[in-house]
Amino acid sequence: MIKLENVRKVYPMGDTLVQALRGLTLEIRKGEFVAVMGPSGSGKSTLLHLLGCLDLPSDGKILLQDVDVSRLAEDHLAQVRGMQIGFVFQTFHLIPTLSALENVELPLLFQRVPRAQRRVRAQELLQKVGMADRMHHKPAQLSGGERQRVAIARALAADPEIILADEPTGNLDSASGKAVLELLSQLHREGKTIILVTHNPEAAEYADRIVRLRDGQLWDGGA
Amino acid sequence: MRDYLSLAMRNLRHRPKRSWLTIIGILIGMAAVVALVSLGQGFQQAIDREFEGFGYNVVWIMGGGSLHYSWTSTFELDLNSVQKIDGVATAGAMLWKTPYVKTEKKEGFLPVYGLEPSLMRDFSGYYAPKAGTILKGGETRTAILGSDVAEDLGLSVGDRLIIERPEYEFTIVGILKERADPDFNDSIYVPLSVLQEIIGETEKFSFVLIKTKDGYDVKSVADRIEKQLKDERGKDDLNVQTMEELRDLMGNIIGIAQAFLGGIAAIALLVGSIGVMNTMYMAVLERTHEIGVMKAIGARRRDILTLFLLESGFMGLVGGFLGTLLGLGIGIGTMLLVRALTKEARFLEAAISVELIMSALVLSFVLGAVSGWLPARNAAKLPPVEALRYE
Repeated sequence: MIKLENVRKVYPMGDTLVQALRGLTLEIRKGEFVAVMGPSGSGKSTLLHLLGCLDLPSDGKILLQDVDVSRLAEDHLAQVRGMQIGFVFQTFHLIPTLSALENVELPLLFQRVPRAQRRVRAQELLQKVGMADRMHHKPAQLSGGERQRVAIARALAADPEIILADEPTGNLDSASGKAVLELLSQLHREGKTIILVTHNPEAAEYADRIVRLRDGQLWDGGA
Repeated sequence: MRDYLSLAMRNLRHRPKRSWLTIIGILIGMAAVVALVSLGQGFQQAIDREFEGFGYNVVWIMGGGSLHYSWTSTFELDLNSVQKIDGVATAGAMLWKTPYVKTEKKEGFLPVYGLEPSLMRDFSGYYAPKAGTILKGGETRTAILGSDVAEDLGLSVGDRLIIERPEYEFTIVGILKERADPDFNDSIYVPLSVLQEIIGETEKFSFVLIKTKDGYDVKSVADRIEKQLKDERGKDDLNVQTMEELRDLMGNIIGIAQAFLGGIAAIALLVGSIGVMNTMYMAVLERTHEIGVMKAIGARRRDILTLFLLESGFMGLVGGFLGTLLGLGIGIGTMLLVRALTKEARFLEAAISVELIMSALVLSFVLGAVSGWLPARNAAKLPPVEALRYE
């Protein structure tokens, strides 16, 4: 499903170059629920950005369903993001001027899905995440847990294979956080590939497998 | 597209004060442009109508010389020899003077045209009576009044007036329909020979109007006339122009005035456009994070570009629409106000055409979109990771 081969990422920061990933090789199978753990600066976020096609590696290959995305142009990457990947962010990243329903519709708009179809799909998804009764609320009128559920519905809108979740419980109380993790678990059972970046060992327990990063490389945890 | 438009509108409504201020910038510029163009076109149309009243198969002869003309100088000319020039259909003379005019109630120096009676018949499209009749030929002590002078003097058909000096009494037989030219409406028209007699300048003319024959090129007839007059007179003391040349001369003067005023209005519009650009740069900066999010969920560059261009284009369009309304209002208001203050301003009219309105609307949308282009392109080119990180 996803293959990283010797991936490097170097950022210029001031006069120095920061090596965020130093030759990472990793394979994630279809339908897997993988937790990526590691301290700050370990390269978690960089990995997530690369997996999400938000950025390109400095070196190495990234295969997404056998397509090398490490050399694609911006608009192709946008297409991959739009169709194959659903993002869930720590701070939700909903568009504040749009209602919950419209936020969920937005990825479909970029996929040129007709309005009526979009609406039906978004309503179904909000129902699925338990937000059917609040779909006309703006993000500011929703609690953190509710916003994250809307964000998950949005991530599912284009029915992607892969869900990338970046500390999705980081800004939530434990009950809401648990609900979000349950929801991701459920999606996993339904066949989605879930990649969860987290600090939280309890969250990581929901995953099939834990990938630990340290200094831009895989780390076996000292075991 | 409809969805993008509704997204764009939502963003504009989200910051109403700034959107309206930006729109007002465009509005003022567009109002200035529309008002000036409307008045300029109206002025041009009014002038064109005056010239069309005469027709374009006409050649004017005035005093002065080939390089300049004089409204006030008088000259002698053998009309019979002019009449024989190839291409000339009719030739009629006028004398323009400002003698002392007395009526029962008022008196003063007024402009009087002495016309060869045939002239009014030859140019009956121009000299149309509102009451009574025009000069037909053979009259001596009859006068026709322009509409304004008739009103000012309180005279109507059948009344009398006296032109000095010596005192000649005239009976008013007609009042002319008003034209845009204030001089036309302010003047008194009497037979040429009587005016010459009063003034004591027999054989003298101020203008000669020549109608050319059908099928002749007016300009070449004018050239022939000019050449023959120079040869006959042995001096260059007359100015010969076709009606078209006179109109172009007027048109040039108006054109220069219009270009000058239009330039000022265009600056106002440019400032408005810069306002749009500024607002859009701020919008892009503020929504950098949002742009990152949209890219993360699959927005292409083109999607982002479209969204921002619609926003700026829409501001342009609303500003343009309101500005056009205001501009037409100013045009019509100016026309009504000035006309209420003076009768001399009939040339001032506001032309309202579908073309003007449509081109104002298209221009304003294009201006909005063009001003939004650079900011929108910046937005579209933002790298997604950096945009997402921006808070």
